[in-house]
Amino acid sequence: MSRTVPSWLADPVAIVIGEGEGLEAVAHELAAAGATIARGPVAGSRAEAAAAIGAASLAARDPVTLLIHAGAPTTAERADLIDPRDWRAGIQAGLDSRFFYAAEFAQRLIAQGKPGAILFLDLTEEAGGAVQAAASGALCNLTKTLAVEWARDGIRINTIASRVVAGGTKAELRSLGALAAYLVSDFAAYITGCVVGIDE
Amino acid sequence: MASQRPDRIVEPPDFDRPFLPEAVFSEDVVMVTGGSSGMGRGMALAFAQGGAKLAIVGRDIEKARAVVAEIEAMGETALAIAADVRDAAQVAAAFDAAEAELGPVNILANNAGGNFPVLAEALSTNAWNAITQIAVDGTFLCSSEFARRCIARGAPGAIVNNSAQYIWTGFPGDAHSAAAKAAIATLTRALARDWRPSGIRVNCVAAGFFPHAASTNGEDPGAVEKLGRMIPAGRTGRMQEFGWAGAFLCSPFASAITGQVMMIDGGESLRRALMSPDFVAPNHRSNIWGFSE
Repeated sequence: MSRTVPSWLADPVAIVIGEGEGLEAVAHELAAAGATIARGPVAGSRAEAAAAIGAASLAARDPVTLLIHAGAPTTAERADLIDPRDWRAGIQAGLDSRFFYAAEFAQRLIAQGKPGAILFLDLTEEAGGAVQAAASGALCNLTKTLAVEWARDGIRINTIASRVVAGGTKAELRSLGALAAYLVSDFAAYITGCVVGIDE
Repeated sequence: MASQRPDRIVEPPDFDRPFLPEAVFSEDVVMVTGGSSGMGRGMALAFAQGGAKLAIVGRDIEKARAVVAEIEAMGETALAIAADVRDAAQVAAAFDAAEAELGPVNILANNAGGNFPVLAEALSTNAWNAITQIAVDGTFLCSSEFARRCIARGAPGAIVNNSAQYIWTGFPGDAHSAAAKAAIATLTRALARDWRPSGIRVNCVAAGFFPHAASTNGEDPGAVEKLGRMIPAGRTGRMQEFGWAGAFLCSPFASAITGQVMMIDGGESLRRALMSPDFVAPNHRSNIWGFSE
Protein backbone atom coordinates (compact mmCIF):
# COMPACT_ATOMS: atom_id res chain seq x y z
CA MET A 1 0.00 0.00 0.00
CA SER A 2 1.18 3.51 -0.70
CA ARG A 3 2.25 5.39 2.38
CA THR A 4 0.07 8.41 1.75
CA VAL A 5 -3.61 8.90 1.00
CA PRO A 6 -4.91 9.36 -2.58
CA SER A 7 -5.45 12.83 -4.08
CA TRP A 8 -8.52 13.58 -2.01
CA LEU A 9 -8.03 17.36 -2.17
CA ALA A 10 -8.22 19.57 -5.25
CA ASP A 11 -5.21 21.79 -4.50
CA PRO A 12 -6.65 23.92 -1.69
CA VAL A 13 -4.50 26.34 0.30
CA ALA A 14 -4.25 25.16 3.90
CA ILE A 15 -3.07 27.39 6.72
CA VAL A 16 -1.42 25.36 9.46
CA ILE A 17 -0.89 26.72 12.97
CA GLY A 18 0.79 25.25 16.04
CA GLU A 19 3.54 22.76 16.60
CA GLY A 20 4.23 19.12 17.30
CA GLU A 21 4.85 15.78 15.68
CA GLY A 22 1.15 15.23 15.04
CA LEU A 23 0.75 18.53 13.22
CA GLU A 24 3.74 17.76 11.00
CA ALA A 25 2.30 14.36 10.13
CA VAL A 26 -0.99 16.03 9.21
CA ALA A 27 0.73 18.72 7.11
CA HIS A 28 2.70 16.01 5.30
CA GLU A 29 -0.44 14.03 4.52
CA LEU A 30 -2.43 17.08 3.40
CA ALA A 31 0.38 18.02 1.02
CA ALA A 32 0.35 14.46 -0.34
CA ALA A 33 -3.41 14.70 -0.81
CA GLY A 34 -2.98 17.85 -2.90
CA ALA A 35 -2.96 20.83 -0.52
CA THR A 36 -0.60 23.79 -0.59
CA ILE A 37 0.63 24.37 2.96
CA ALA A 38 1.11 27.83 4.50
CA ARG A 39 2.14 28.42 8.10
CA GLY A 40 0.72 30.88 10.57
CA PRO A 41 1.65 31.94 14.11
CA VAL A 42 -0.52 31.48 17.20
CA ALA A 43 -2.77 34.57 17.23
CA GLY A 44 -3.58 36.79 20.20
CA SER A 45 -6.43 38.53 18.42
CA ARG A 46 -8.71 38.28 15.39
CA ALA A 47 -6.58 40.96 13.72
CA GLU A 48 -3.47 38.82 14.03
CA ALA A 49 -5.30 35.82 12.62
CA ALA A 50 -6.67 37.93 9.75
CA ALA A 51 -3.17 39.15 8.91
CA ALA A 52 -1.82 35.59 8.83
CA ILE A 53 -4.65 34.30 6.64
CA GLY A 54 -4.29 37.33 4.35
CA ALA A 55 -0.56 36.77 3.98
CA ALA A 56 -1.03 33.05 3.27
CA SER A 57 -3.64 33.72 0.67
CA LEU A 58 -1.55 36.45 -0.99
CA ALA A 59 1.51 34.22 -1.16
CA ALA A 60 -0.45 31.32 -2.62
CA ARG A 61 -2.54 33.61 -4.87
CA ASP A 62 -5.62 31.68 -3.79
CA PRO A 63 -8.07 31.91 -0.92
CA VAL A 64 -7.29 29.80 2.14
CA THR A 65 -10.00 27.12 2.28
CA LEU A 66 -8.51 24.79 4.91
CA LEU A 67 -7.59 25.73 8.46
CA ILE A 68 -5.62 23.31 10.62
CA HIS A 69 -4.86 24.47 14.14
CA ALA A 70 -2.93 22.43 16.69
CA GLY A 71 -2.03 23.58 20.18
CA ALA A 72 1.30 24.01 21.94
CA PRO A 73 2.73 22.15 24.91
CA THR A 74 1.07 23.22 28.17
CA THR A 75 2.25 22.95 31.76
CA ALA A 76 1.38 19.80 33.67
CA GLU A 77 2.11 21.57 36.97
CA ARG A 78 -0.34 21.10 39.84
CA ALA A 79 -3.07 23.73 39.43
CA ASP A 80 -2.18 25.78 42.52
CA LEU A 81 1.41 26.05 41.31
CA ILE A 82 0.64 27.37 37.82
CA ASP A 83 1.85 30.90 37.15
CA PRO A 84 -1.09 33.03 35.93
CA ARG A 85 0.95 34.03 32.88
CA ASP A 86 1.48 30.38 31.93
CA TRP A 87 -2.21 29.76 32.43
CA ARG A 88 -3.11 32.64 30.08
CA ALA A 89 -0.53 31.66 27.45
CA GLY A 90 -1.79 28.07 27.51
CA ILE A 91 -5.43 29.03 27.09
CA GLN A 92 -4.54 31.48 24.35
CA ALA A 93 -2.68 28.84 22.31
CA GLY A 94 -5.10 26.05 23.14
CA LEU A 95 -8.35 27.90 22.71
CA ASP A 96 -8.38 31.64 21.90
CA SER A 97 -6.11 31.48 18.85
CA ARG A 98 -8.26 28.72 17.40
CA PHE A 99 -11.39 30.79 17.75
CA PHE A 100 -9.72 33.89 16.27
CA TYR A 101 -8.50 31.94 13.24
CA ALA A 102 -11.77 30.09 12.79
CA ALA A 103 -13.85 33.29 12.92
CA GLU A 104 -11.62 35.13 10.44
CA PHE A 105 -11.38 32.10 8.17
CA ALA A 106 -15.16 31.65 8.09
CA GLN A 107 -15.88 35.35 7.65
CA ARG A 108 -13.64 35.49 4.59
CA LEU A 109 -15.08 32.36 3.02
CA ILE A 110 -18.64 33.55 3.65
CA ALA A 111 -17.81 36.87 1.96
CA GLN A 112 -16.28 35.01 -0.98
CA GLY A 113 -19.13 32.47 -1.15
CA LYS A 114 -16.70 29.57 -0.87
CA PRO A 115 -16.90 26.36 1.16
CA GLY A 116 -14.08 25.29 3.44
CA ALA A 117 -13.07 23.01 6.29
CA ILE A 118 -11.52 23.51 9.71
CA LEU A 119 -9.71 20.85 11.71
CA PHE A 120 -8.50 21.30 15.27
CA LEU A 121 -5.85 18.95 16.60
CA ASP A 122 -5.96 18.52 20.32
CA LEU A 123 -4.78 16.21 23.05
CA THR A 124 -7.30 14.47 25.24
CA GLU A 125 -8.73 16.17 28.30
CA GLU A 126 -6.63 13.92 30.57
CA ALA A 127 -3.36 14.45 28.67
CA GLY A 128 -2.14 17.38 30.73
CA GLY A 129 -2.95 19.52 33.72
CA ALA A 130 -5.62 22.14 34.34
CA VAL A 131 -4.80 24.16 31.22
CA GLN A 132 -5.23 21.18 28.93
CA ALA A 133 -8.44 20.09 30.66
CA ALA A 134 -10.04 23.52 30.32
CA ALA A 135 -8.89 24.03 26.74
CA SER A 136 -10.08 20.54 25.69
CA GLY A 137 -13.57 20.99 27.07
CA ALA A 138 -13.87 24.41 25.53
CA LEU A 139 -12.57 23.27 22.16
CA CYS A 140 -14.88 20.27 22.00
CA ASN A 141 -18.01 22.33 22.56
CA LEU A 142 -16.71 25.16 20.36
CA THR A 143 -16.33 22.62 17.55
CA LYS A 144 -19.96 21.53 17.94
CA THR A 145 -21.20 25.11 18.14
CA LEU A 146 -19.33 26.47 15.13
CA ALA A 147 -20.30 23.39 13.10
CA VAL A 148 -23.95 24.38 13.33
CA GLU A 149 -23.37 28.11 12.91
CA TRP A 150 -21.54 27.63 9.61
CA ALA A 151 -23.12 24.42 8.32
CA ARG A 152 -25.26 26.28 5.77
CA ASP A 153 -22.19 28.17 4.57
CA GLY A 154 -20.57 24.91 3.55
CA ILE A 155 -17.91 25.29 6.23
CA ARG A 156 -17.28 22.13 8.24
CA ILE A 157 -15.38 21.91 11.50
CA ASN A 158 -14.08 18.83 13.30
CA THR A 159 -11.56 18.01 16.02
CA ILE A 160 -9.15 15.11 16.38
CA ALA A 161 -8.46 14.77 20.11
CA SER A 162 -5.71 12.23 20.64
CA ARG A 163 -2.52 11.58 22.54
CA VAL A 164 -1.01 10.89 19.08
CA VAL A 165 -1.17 14.63 18.35
CA ALA A 166 1.78 15.01 20.75
CA GLY A 167 3.66 12.19 19.04
CA GLY A 168 3.32 8.49 18.39
CA THR A 169 4.51 5.52 16.40
CA LYS A 170 4.90 5.79 12.62
CA ALA A 171 1.64 3.88 12.15
CA GLU A 172 -0.20 6.14 14.60
CA LEU A 173 1.09 9.29 12.94
CA ARG A 174 0.16 7.96 9.49
CA SER A 175 -3.35 7.18 10.71
CA LEU A 176 -3.61 10.65 12.22
CA GLY A 177 -2.55 12.21 8.92
CA ALA A 178 -4.93 10.06 6.90
CA LEU A 179 -7.85 10.76 9.23
CA ALA A 180 -7.12 14.49 8.99
CA ALA A 181 -6.99 14.41 5.19
CA TYR A 182 -10.23 12.42 5.06
CA LEU A 183 -12.05 14.76 7.43
CA VAL A 184 -11.19 17.92 5.47
CA SER A 185 -11.98 16.29 2.09
CA ASP A 186 -15.35 16.34 0.33
CA PHE A 187 -15.58 12.57 0.86
CA ALA A 188 -16.41 13.51 4.47
CA ALA A 189 -18.84 16.28 3.44
CA TYR A 190 -21.47 15.05 5.93
CA ILE A 191 -19.08 15.00 8.91
CA THR A 192 -19.18 18.19 10.93
CA GLY A 193 -19.12 18.89 14.64
CA CYS A 194 -17.35 15.57 15.17
CA VAL A 195 -14.74 15.04 17.88
CA VAL A 196 -12.83 11.82 17.29
CA GLY A 197 -9.61 10.19 18.47
CA ILE A 198 -7.09 7.62 17.22
CA ASP A 199 -6.60 5.07 20.02
CA GLU A 200 -6.82 6.54 23.48
CA MET B 1 -31.21 39.99 10.14
CA ALA B 2 -27.54 40.89 10.34
CA SER B 3 -26.52 38.76 7.37
CA GLN B 4 -28.95 36.84 5.21
CA ARG B 5 -26.74 34.80 2.97
CA PRO B 6 -27.59 32.08 0.48
CA ASP B 7 -27.22 28.46 1.61
CA ARG B 8 -24.14 26.68 0.37
CA ILE B 9 -24.88 22.98 0.51
CA VAL B 10 -21.87 20.78 -0.18
CA GLU B 11 -22.45 17.40 -1.83
CA PRO B 12 -19.92 14.57 -1.68
CA PRO B 13 -18.32 13.19 -4.84
CA ASP B 14 -20.44 10.63 -6.72
CA PHE B 15 -19.98 6.99 -5.78
CA ASP B 16 -18.26 6.43 -9.13
CA ARG B 17 -15.35 8.63 -8.11
CA PRO B 18 -13.06 6.25 -6.25
CA PHE B 19 -12.29 7.15 -2.65
CA LEU B 20 -9.76 4.55 -1.49
CA PRO B 21 -7.28 3.02 -3.98
CA GLU B 22 -8.90 0.44 -6.28
CA ALA B 23 -7.18 -2.60 -4.78
CA VAL B 24 -7.06 -1.49 -1.15
CA PHE B 25 -9.23 -4.41 0.02
CA SER B 26 -8.18 -6.93 -2.66
CA GLU B 27 -6.74 -9.32 -0.05
CA ASP B 28 -9.72 -8.94 2.27
CA VAL B 29 -12.90 -10.88 2.94
CA VAL B 30 -15.56 -8.60 4.40
CA MET B 31 -18.71 -9.83 6.12
CA VAL B 32 -21.53 -7.29 6.17
CA THR B 33 -24.50 -8.16 8.37
CA GLY B 34 -27.71 -6.48 7.33
CA GLY B 35 -25.90 -6.20 4.00
CA SER B 36 -28.96 -6.99 1.93
CA SER B 37 -30.54 -3.54 2.21
CA GLY B 38 -30.17 0.04 3.32
CA MET B 39 -27.06 1.11 5.16
CA GLY B 40 -25.51 -2.36 5.16
CA ARG B 41 -25.83 -2.46 1.39
CA GLY B 42 -24.20 1.00 1.24
CA MET B 43 -21.27 -0.22 3.25
CA ALA B 44 -20.95 -3.43 1.22
CA LEU B 45 -20.75 -1.46 -2.03
CA ALA B 46 -18.01 0.79 -0.58
CA PHE B 47 -15.91 -2.26 0.33
CA ALA B 48 -16.58 -3.80 -3.09
CA GLN B 49 -15.32 -0.56 -4.66
CA GLY B 50 -11.99 -1.23 -2.93
CA GLY B 51 -11.81 -4.76 -4.38
CA ALA B 52 -12.96 -6.77 -1.35
CA LYS B 53 -14.68 -10.14 -1.46
CA LEU B 54 -18.04 -9.75 0.29
CA ALA B 55 -20.17 -12.03 2.44
CA ILE B 56 -23.65 -10.48 2.45
CA VAL B 57 -25.56 -11.68 5.49
CA GLY B 58 -29.30 -11.11 5.79
CA ARG B 59 -32.36 -12.90 7.01
CA ASP B 60 -33.89 -12.82 3.51
CA ILE B 61 -31.62 -14.74 1.13
CA GLU B 62 -33.33 -13.31 -1.97
CA LYS B 63 -32.54 -9.74 -0.91
CA ALA B 64 -28.96 -10.73 -0.10
CA ARG B 65 -28.66 -12.31 -3.56
CA ALA B 66 -29.82 -9.07 -5.18
CA VAL B 67 -26.93 -7.18 -3.50
CA VAL B 68 -24.53 -9.97 -4.51
CA ALA B 69 -25.66 -9.43 -8.11
CA GLU B 70 -24.92 -5.69 -7.79
CA ILE B 71 -21.43 -6.43 -6.50
CA GLU B 72 -20.80 -8.96 -9.26
CA ALA B 73 -21.86 -6.31 -11.77
CA MET B 74 -19.04 -4.16 -10.33
CA GLY B 75 -16.66 -7.01 -11.24
CA GLU B 76 -16.18 -8.20 -7.66
CA THR B 77 -16.93 -11.42 -5.78
CA ALA B 78 -19.72 -11.85 -3.24
CA LEU B 79 -21.68 -14.56 -1.48
CA ALA B 80 -25.22 -14.37 -0.06
CA ILE B 81 -25.72 -15.98 3.35
CA ALA B 82 -29.00 -16.31 5.27
CA ALA B 83 -28.57 -15.96 9.03
CA ASP B 84 -30.21 -14.42 12.06
CA VAL B 85 -27.50 -12.56 14.00
CA ARG B 86 -29.34 -13.18 17.30
CA ASP B 87 -28.50 -16.89 17.13
CA ALA B 88 -24.89 -17.81 17.96
CA ALA B 89 -25.08 -21.09 16.00
CA GLN B 90 -26.34 -19.32 12.88
CA VAL B 91 -23.59 -16.71 13.26
CA ALA B 92 -20.91 -19.43 13.45
CA ALA B 93 -22.44 -21.17 10.43
CA ALA B 94 -22.37 -17.89 8.48
CA PHE B 95 -18.64 -17.51 9.17
CA ASP B 96 -18.11 -21.16 8.13
CA ALA B 97 -19.97 -20.57 4.87
CA ALA B 98 -18.05 -17.36 4.12
CA GLU B 99 -14.73 -19.01 4.92
CA ALA B 100 -15.42 -22.07 2.76
CA GLU B 101 -16.31 -19.99 -0.27
CA LEU B 102 -14.24 -16.79 0.06
CA GLY B 103 -11.55 -17.47 2.67
CA PRO B 104 -11.23 -16.32 6.28
CA VAL B 105 -13.18 -13.16 7.11
CA ASN B 106 -10.82 -10.38 8.24
CA ILE B 107 -13.19 -7.40 8.19
CA LEU B 108 -16.65 -7.34 9.81
CA ALA B 109 -19.27 -4.63 9.31
CA ASN B 110 -22.12 -4.99 11.81
CA ASN B 111 -25.08 -3.30 10.16
CA ALA B 112 -28.02 -5.56 11.00
CA GLY B 113 -30.68 -3.48 12.70
CA GLY B 114 -34.19 -2.18 12.58
CA ASN B 115 -36.11 0.78 13.89
CA PHE B 116 -39.59 2.30 14.02
CA PRO B 117 -41.32 5.10 15.94
CA VAL B 118 -43.18 3.92 19.03
CA LEU B 119 -44.31 5.22 22.41
CA ALA B 120 -42.37 3.44 25.15
CA GLU B 121 -45.51 2.39 27.03
CA ALA B 122 -46.82 0.79 23.86
CA LEU B 123 -43.62 -1.10 23.08
CA SER B 124 -44.26 -4.85 23.38
CA THR B 125 -41.81 -7.37 24.77
CA ASN B 126 -41.40 -8.87 21.31
CA ALA B 127 -40.72 -5.53 19.63
CA TRP B 128 -38.27 -4.47 22.35
CA ASN B 129 -36.50 -7.84 22.09
CA ALA B 130 -36.34 -7.76 18.30
CA ILE B 131 -34.79 -4.31 17.96
CA THR B 132 -32.40 -4.51 20.91
CA GLN B 133 -31.28 -8.09 20.32
CA ILE B 134 -30.56 -7.65 16.61
CA ALA B 135 -28.46 -4.57 17.37
CA VAL B 136 -26.84 -5.35 20.72
CA ASP B 137 -26.69 -9.16 20.85
CA GLY B 138 -26.13 -9.36 17.09
CA THR B 139 -23.17 -6.98 17.20
CA PHE B 140 -21.71 -8.85 20.17
CA LEU B 141 -22.24 -12.36 18.77
CA CYS B 142 -20.85 -11.54 15.33
CA SER B 143 -17.90 -9.58 16.75
CA SER B 144 -16.92 -12.24 19.27
CA GLU B 145 -17.21 -15.06 16.71
CA PHE B 146 -15.09 -12.96 14.32
CA ALA B 147 -12.47 -12.26 17.00
CA ARG B 148 -12.22 -15.91 18.12
CA ARG B 149 -11.46 -16.91 14.54
CA CYS B 150 -8.93 -14.10 13.99
CA ILE B 151 -7.17 -14.88 17.27
CA ALA B 152 -7.11 -18.65 16.53
CA ARG B 153 -5.29 -18.12 13.24
CA GLY B 154 -3.13 -15.27 14.59
CA ALA B 155 -4.47 -12.78 12.07
CA PRO B 156 -5.37 -9.11 12.58
CA GLY B 157 -8.84 -7.82 11.80
CA ALA B 158 -11.06 -4.77 11.72
CA ILE B 159 -14.68 -4.26 12.76
CA VAL B 160 -16.97 -1.34 12.06
CA ASN B 161 -20.26 -0.99 13.93
CA ASN B 162 -23.35 0.97 12.97
CA SER B 163 -24.59 3.39 15.62
CA ALA B 164 -26.73 6.52 15.44
CA GLN B 165 -26.60 10.29 15.89
CA TYR B 166 -28.99 10.23 18.88
CA ILE B 167 -26.79 8.13 21.18
CA TRP B 168 -25.58 11.00 23.39
CA THR B 169 -28.98 12.68 23.81
CA GLY B 170 -31.61 9.96 23.91
CA PHE B 171 -34.44 9.89 21.38
CA PRO B 172 -38.02 10.18 22.69
CA GLY B 173 -40.29 7.85 20.73
CA ASP B 174 -37.42 5.48 20.04
CA ALA B 175 -36.62 3.82 23.38
CA HIS B 176 -35.53 0.50 21.83
CA SER B 177 -33.13 1.93 19.31
CA ALA B 178 -31.89 4.76 21.56
CA ALA B 179 -30.80 2.16 24.10
CA ALA B 180 -29.47 -0.29 21.52
CA LYS B 181 -27.46 2.18 19.46
CA ALA B 182 -25.82 3.67 22.54
CA ALA B 183 -24.89 0.17 23.68
CA ILE B 184 -23.18 -0.37 20.34
CA ALA B 185 -21.04 2.75 20.83
CA THR B 186 -19.91 1.84 24.33
CA LEU B 187 -19.49 -1.82 23.35
CA THR B 188 -17.21 -0.62 20.54
CA ARG B 189 -14.83 0.89 23.07
CA ALA B 190 -14.84 -2.20 25.30
CA LEU B 191 -14.19 -4.58 22.40
CA ALA B 192 -11.39 -2.35 21.13
CA ARG B 193 -9.78 -2.53 24.55
CA ASP B 194 -10.16 -6.31 24.83
CA TRP B 195 -8.79 -7.07 21.39
CA ARG B 196 -6.11 -4.40 20.96
CA PRO B 197 -3.41 -6.95 21.98
CA SER B 198 -4.69 -9.29 19.24
CA GLY B 199 -4.50 -6.63 16.53
CA ILE B 200 -8.26 -6.43 16.06
CA ARG B 201 -9.48 -2.87 15.64
CA VAL B 202 -13.08 -1.94 16.51
CA ASN B 203 -14.66 1.37 15.50
CA CYS B 204 -18.13 2.73 15.08
CA VAL B 205 -19.91 5.12 12.73
CA ALA B 206 -22.69 7.07 14.44
CA ALA B 207 -24.92 7.93 11.54
CA GLY B 208 -27.55 10.57 10.97
CA PHE B 209 -30.27 10.15 8.37
CA PHE B 210 -29.19 8.27 5.26
CA PRO B 211 -32.42 7.64 3.35
CA HIS B 212 -32.89 4.33 1.58
CA ALA B 213 -35.86 2.40 0.26
CA ALA B 214 -36.65 0.78 3.63
CA SER B 215 -36.25 3.81 5.93
CA THR B 216 -39.10 5.88 7.32
CA ASN B 217 -39.96 8.35 4.51
CA GLY B 218 -36.99 6.87 2.64
CA GLU B 219 -38.64 6.31 -0.71
CA ASP B 220 -40.49 9.62 -0.80
CA PRO B 221 -38.20 12.23 -2.42
CA GLY B 222 -40.49 15.06 -1.18
CA ALA B 223 -40.18 13.87 2.40
CA VAL B 224 -36.40 13.41 2.08
CA GLU B 225 -36.07 16.95 0.74
CA LYS B 226 -38.09 18.24 3.69
CA LEU B 227 -35.96 16.26 6.17
CA GLY B 228 -32.83 17.69 4.56
CA ARG B 229 -33.98 21.21 5.34
CA MET B 230 -34.18 20.32 9.07
CA ILE B 231 -30.52 19.36 9.16
CA PRO B 232 -27.80 22.01 9.58
CA ALA B 233 -25.88 20.71 6.54
CA GLY B 234 -29.02 21.36 4.47
CA ARG B 235 -29.47 17.80 3.24
CA THR B 236 -29.71 14.20 4.35
CA GLY B 237 -26.65 11.97 4.08
CA ARG B 238 -25.80 10.25 0.80
CA MET B 239 -25.26 6.51 1.12
CA GLN B 240 -21.76 6.62 -0.39
CA GLU B 241 -20.67 8.93 2.45
CA PHE B 242 -21.76 6.37 5.02
CA GLY B 243 -20.10 3.53 3.11
CA TRP B 244 -16.87 5.44 2.72
CA ALA B 245 -16.74 6.29 6.44
CA GLY B 246 -16.95 2.60 7.33
CA ALA B 247 -14.49 1.58 4.64
CA PHE B 248 -12.00 4.25 5.76
CA LEU B 249 -12.07 3.01 9.35
CA CYS B 250 -11.38 -0.59 8.23
CA SER B 251 -8.71 0.38 5.69
CA PRO B 252 -4.93 0.29 6.15
CA PHE B 253 -5.04 4.11 6.23
CA ALA B 254 -6.69 3.81 9.65
CA SER B 255 -4.39 1.02 10.87
CA ALA B 256 -3.84 2.69 14.27
CA ILE B 257 -7.42 3.90 14.79
CA THR B 258 -9.45 1.86 17.28
CA GLY B 259 -12.15 2.36 19.90
CA GLN B 260 -13.54 5.42 18.13
CA VAL B 261 -17.10 6.58 17.54
CA MET B 262 -17.22 8.81 14.48
CA MET B 263 -20.33 10.96 14.14
CA ILE B 264 -21.53 11.53 10.58
CA ASP B 265 -24.79 13.44 10.69
CA GLY B 266 -24.45 16.85 9.01
CA GLY B 267 -24.76 18.44 12.46
CA GLU B 268 -28.23 16.93 13.04
CA SER B 269 -27.52 15.88 16.64
CA LEU B 270 -26.14 19.34 17.46
CA ARG B 271 -29.06 21.41 16.24
CA ARG B 272 -30.64 23.31 19.09
CA ALA B 273 -31.92 26.73 19.99
CA LEU B 274 -32.50 28.42 23.31
CA MET B 275 -36.00 29.35 22.20
CA SER B 276 -38.13 26.60 20.70
CA PRO B 277 -41.80 25.99 19.96
CA ASP B 278 -43.83 24.65 22.90
CA PHE B 279 -42.85 21.15 23.92
CA VAL B 280 -45.36 18.57 22.75
CA ALA B 281 -45.14 15.19 24.47
CA PRO B 282 -44.60 12.29 22.06
CA ASN B 283 -48.02 10.84 22.98
CA HIS B 284 -49.69 14.08 21.82
CA ARG B 285 -48.00 14.16 18.45
CA SER B 286 -49.61 12.97 15.23
CA ASN B 287 -46.12 11.83 14.22
CA ILE B 288 -44.18 10.40 17.19
CA TRP B 289 -40.83 11.47 15.72
CA GLY B 290 -42.21 14.87 14.73
CA PHE B 291 -41.45 18.09 16.54
CA SER B 292 -44.98 19.29 17.25
CA GLU B 293 -48.60 18.26 16.71
